[in-house]
Parts: sequence; structure tokens; C-alpha cells
Amino acid sequence: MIMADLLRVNWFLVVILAFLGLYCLLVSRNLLRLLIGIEILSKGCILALVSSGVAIGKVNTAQTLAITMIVVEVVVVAVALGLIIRAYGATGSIDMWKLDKLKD
Amino acid sequence: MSLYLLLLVALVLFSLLAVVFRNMLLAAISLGVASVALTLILFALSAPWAATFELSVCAGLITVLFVSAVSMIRKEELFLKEGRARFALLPFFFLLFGIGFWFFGDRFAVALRGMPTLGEQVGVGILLWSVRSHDLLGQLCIILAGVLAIKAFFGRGRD
Amino acid sequence: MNQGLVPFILLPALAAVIAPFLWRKSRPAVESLSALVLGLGLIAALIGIPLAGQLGAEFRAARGSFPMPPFRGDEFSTLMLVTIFLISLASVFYSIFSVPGGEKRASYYSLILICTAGMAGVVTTGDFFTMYVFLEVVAVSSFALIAFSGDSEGIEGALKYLFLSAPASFLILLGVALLFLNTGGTSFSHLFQTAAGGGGSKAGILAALGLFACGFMVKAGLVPFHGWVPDAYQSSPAPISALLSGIVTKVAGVYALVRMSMFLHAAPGYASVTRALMFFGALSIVVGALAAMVQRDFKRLLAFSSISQVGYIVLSAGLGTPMALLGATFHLFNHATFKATLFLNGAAVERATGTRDMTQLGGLGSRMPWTTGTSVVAFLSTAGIPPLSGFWSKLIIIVALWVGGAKGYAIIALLASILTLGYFLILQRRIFFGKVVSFTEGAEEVAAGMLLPVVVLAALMVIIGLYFPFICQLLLDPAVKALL
Repeated sequence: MIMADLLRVNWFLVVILAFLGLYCLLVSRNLLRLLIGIEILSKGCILALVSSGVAIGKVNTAQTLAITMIVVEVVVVAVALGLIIRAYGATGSIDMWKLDKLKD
Repeated sequence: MSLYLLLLVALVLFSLLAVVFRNMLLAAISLGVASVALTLILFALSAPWAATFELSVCAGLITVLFVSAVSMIRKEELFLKEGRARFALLPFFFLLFGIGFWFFGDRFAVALRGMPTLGEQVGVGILLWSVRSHDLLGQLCIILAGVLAIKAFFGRGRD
Repeated sequence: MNQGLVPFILLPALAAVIAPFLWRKSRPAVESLSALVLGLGLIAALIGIPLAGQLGAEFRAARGSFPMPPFRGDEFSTLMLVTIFLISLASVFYSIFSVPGGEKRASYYSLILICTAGMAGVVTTGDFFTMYVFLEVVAVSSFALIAFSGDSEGIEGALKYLFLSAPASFLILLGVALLFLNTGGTSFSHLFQTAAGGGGSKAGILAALGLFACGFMVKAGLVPFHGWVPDAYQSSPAPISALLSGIVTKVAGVYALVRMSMFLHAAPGYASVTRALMFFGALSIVVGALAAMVQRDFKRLLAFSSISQVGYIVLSAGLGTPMALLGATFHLFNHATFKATLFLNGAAVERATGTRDMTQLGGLGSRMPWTTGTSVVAFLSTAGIPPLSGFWSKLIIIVALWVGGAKGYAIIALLASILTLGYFLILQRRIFFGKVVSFTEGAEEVAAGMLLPVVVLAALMVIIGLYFPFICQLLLDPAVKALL
């Protein structure tokens, strides 16, 4: 029964992960946890891409997309971490609520 | 089949833990475990290349980066209380959406039952290098951009 | 094998790699190299318009066939390339002269070059996924550039941009996955084929397009996704603000939205997406114009003004008639020139007077004649005064809206334009032509090198405005042909 609906199950997971990630981004105060939220979103995307590929028979194309996406994601995460460390160095805190110097 | 479902549950569970844990170190490790679960899922979906990349990069590299970042930050800063009260109703809406999706999600995908699967003969390597070579160029560019960005952040200051 | 417009990506990327090594040897070499590469790119893009026209014609001719050949670039892409290289060149030029000697670290020019390469990648590819990859290249280099000065303001702006840009990329990727599921591929050809031929599930493709639209709207800084724009523009170093406002938001967001409109109008049945685009465009026009009026810091003023102008472009693109698309494309190019000029001049004013607070400035005209002149031209052009270029693009947009049946939107656009005009005139009178106040006493005109880019851009605005029919034939008609 579930086998025939593999696609549906997979995409349901994608939706769950998407909401989990978005929830994390909305409520988090800690900069590192915001990054975790972004990571969860990325996992959802990888699952989405590969499961779509499996469903239509083009697994290998989906894999190439997933591989490229993973590479891109790791660079973004690395740069984001660098930025967070700099923020910590400049303000001594990774609390997002303390970042409000720019409002006029 | 049940193993597959177990893996899916593990993925969601450990991601949830990563969001909820107060201790950032545990959160990072939890994320790593979730990555491992995703790797196994990808293997089960017959996508070994993607699974390997996911394992070595997400479960490995990103977890290491996170842990080293956590180690650079003072202990007090890591245990902030999250401001969750405002968003208490949100999970409820998500649940509704999830149920709706489960029952009505079929409309968003082409009907698969009658479709002939266009099995792919071409291997991943060849695909990547010839069909999607632009993506490779993009990967080079982004690695370059990332290196330059890190250099700009932590470089040796005024020359 | 015909590589299309790929060399435009390779050249700046190569220069970006070489630059750090050259830095040790000689600083001026790096600066000249950057300027040279960007200048070459600009000239090549201008010359390449006919070639790109040929490529575009091939693509369009093959529309009915199955499978469609891959997209390799067309006139619209080349026009975007011209804009990209022009503004990058202006930004680099300003940077060269604004900091005497070696305060800039080696990576600065490399980052600008790789950012340009990334943008070139976005506009020359025919595949949504490749677009995502190059968008991330642009995003990563933008983070580094915004935070470049190292002060906490810059870092804050970069972080805000990061935490809005990442979910936007995620939305785009989900859209790609849905597209992949429904059409078997991720390129323009696949979308086009399936949408026109009725292959995949219509709801699915609509959902994919909706996700794309949301993602690209965040990147373009459209209301209600504009939260990161004022902070990022305000906190980045001046030439970077010019770069960001002039092209990064356009390439990242607006270009894709215009392309989507282009496809959707050739394939009927997806009108809801374009209607939504028009709505958010109009919303941005109004919110941006109103918010701009209550700002004190001129960088924030310019940021909100950008949001408003981008609204014009998206509103017009959403309508999709040939005239509307012509207006949108033209305004895209024009606005890049306006904002680049205004941000660069704003930086010059800040250097000379030490403040960004507009309530404290007055009477600059007597002290900084060139800056004043070019700023006035840019302000007037933004507000749409004849015979400057801005007048023509706004006129085309408003007329296209009226003729195309969106009379309500046309009126909104017109009213907002008048509002902006009034406000800018008042502002200009006070800052440039009013009484000289304490802050502006000691202000001196800035170095000639820094003035060169803005003078060139202002001249462009005037020339394009005066010779509009000629420009129309040379650059814009081909671009619009591409869009249909």
C-alpha cells in the first residue's frame, strides 16, 4: 500500500522538514540555531529533489542536482558561520535580539 | 518498508531535537545524526552518489564546522532561552496544512501510474560533466567566492 | 560547440583568482586589472548583442519542436550583461579612487569580480537550477562585501540579508524540485514545453511558479519581503551599496521575475501568477514611496526609493504586453544607473561633510558642484522629468498599464510618481541649493577619479533621454523581441 505512494510519503516528509525549518527560523534567538534551521530546510530540499527523481525515473539527474546543491550549501554554511563568529567577535554575543543598531 | 519508515521518523525526530535542545553542542550533534538518517534514506532510494556526498559533507564536514564554531563561543551565550511563546499557535497551523497536504497533495504531481518510466542509462559522472557542466562551473565559482569571503572575514588585516 | 555567453562568466572569475596573487606584487596592478576586465566585458556585451540575437532567434524558432534545444542566451541576457558590467565598473572605479593606497584588503576586488561573474552566470543560463547555483555565488560574495568594513553595522546588515536570502533560495529550490517532478527537467525549455503542451499537472506547475515567485520576490526586495533591504543598503560600504542596489537585487530577483512573465504570457492559463506579481509590484511602489519620505538617513531613503522603483519594473513585467515589457526592461537599466549614481554621490557627500543625516545638510551646491549636478540629474530622472531617460521609461510603463487594461494600477503608478517628484524636489532644494550650514562649510569637491563614473552615468541618462527613439531601435526592440 505504501509502496505505491512512496512519492507522497517522501514529499510529506519534505513538508514536515520545511515547516520545522521555517519554525526554527521564526522563533530562534540564537544565531547558531538559525543556521540549524537553514540546514533543516536544505535537507528537505535534498529529499525533495531525489524523491522527485526517483518518482519519474531520472534518479541520476536528481543525484547530480543533489550533489551540486550539497556543495553550494556547505559553502553557504561555512561563510555564514564565519559571519557569526565575526559578529560574536564584534559584539560579544550571538543573540539575535541584540542586533538592532540599524533602525533609525 | 518498515525500516524505511523508521529512517524517516528518525530524520524528523533528530531534526526536531536539533531545534529544541538548549545545549548547542547537542543540537549540532543531533543535526549530524539526522544527516546520517538522510544518508540511509538516500541509499534506500537508490541514490548512492547523493548519499555519499550527504554523509561526508553534511554529516561530517558541517557537523565539524558547527562544533568548532560552538567551541569558540563562551558557555553562557550558548544557553539562551528561545522566544517561543509568541509562536505557540504556529505548529497547530502546520498540522492542519500537513493533513491537507496528505489528502490533497496528489494534484500537484503528474499522475504517475500510467507513465512509462524513462529509465536512465547514463551514469552520474557523465551526466554531471557533460549535461550539467554549467553547474560545475557554478560550483567552482561558489567555492572561490566562499574562500574569498572567509579570507575577507579573517584575513590578516591591513597590508 | 557553441558555448553561448559563458565566457562572460569565465573572464571575471579568472581575474578574481589571479587578483590575490597580484596584490602582493603591486596594488595598482590589481585595480587596473579589475577595471580592465570589467571594461572589456562591457564592450564585449555591447558588441555581442547581434550574436546573442541570433542565439535567441534560434531558441524562439524551435519553440514548437520537441524536444526543445537548450537556451543559450538572448538579447535580454545581453542587455543585462551590459548593465552588470557597467555598474560593476562604476563601483570599482569609485573604490579605486576613494581609498588612497592600501586600506582595502586583497579580497575586495576579487569579491567584486566573482560577484560579477556570478551575476553573469545568472543571466546567461537557461536552467532554473543553474540559476540557483549562481544566485548563491552572488549571495555569498554579497555577504562578504556588505560586512567588509568589519564594523558591527556591516555585520548586522549582512546577517539580516543572509537570514532572508537563505529561505528564499530554499523556496526556489523547492520550486525546482516540483518543476522537475512535473516536467522531467529543470530548464526553461522544459517549463515552456510542458506548460504550453499541457503535460504535467497544472496545479503542480502553478505551485512551482508560485514558489519561484516568492523566492525571487524576497531576493528582489519587493514588499512584503523587503525587510533586509534598508539595513543591508545602509550598512554596506558605499560602492557596495551602489553595486547592491544597482544590479544585485535586479539580477537576483527582478531578472527571473521578468523571464517568468515572459514564459507565462506565451503559455496561457497561468494568469494568477502574473496578477500576483502585479499586485506586489504596485504594493512596493506605494510602500517604498511613502516610507522613503520619513527617512532621515539618506542611504535608507535611497533604499526605500529602490524598493519603490523595483515595484514599477515588476508591475510592468507582470502585465506582459510588448509595451509593458519594453518599459520594464528599460526601467531596469535606467534604475541601475540612477541608483548607482545616487549612492556613489551620497558616499562622496558623506566623506566631505561627515554626516548622512539629511536634516543637517544644506547648501552643498556651492561647495560640490559636480556632485550636485550629477545628483540632481539622477534625482530628476528617478522622478521622471523629461527629457531624461527616466521620464521615458516611466511614461512607457504608465501608458502600457493604461492601454493594457490595468487602469487602476496606472493611476497608482502615476500618483506615486508625482508624490516622489514633489518630495525629491523639496529635498534637493534644501540639501543642494539651500543655505550653507555648519556641516557643509568645510565640504570640498571630491577627487576627479571618483567623479568619473557618476559623470558618465549622468551623461548616459541625459543622452538616452534625448536620443530616445534611436536607443529604442538599437537596444530595446531587440530586447523585447527576445521577451516574446
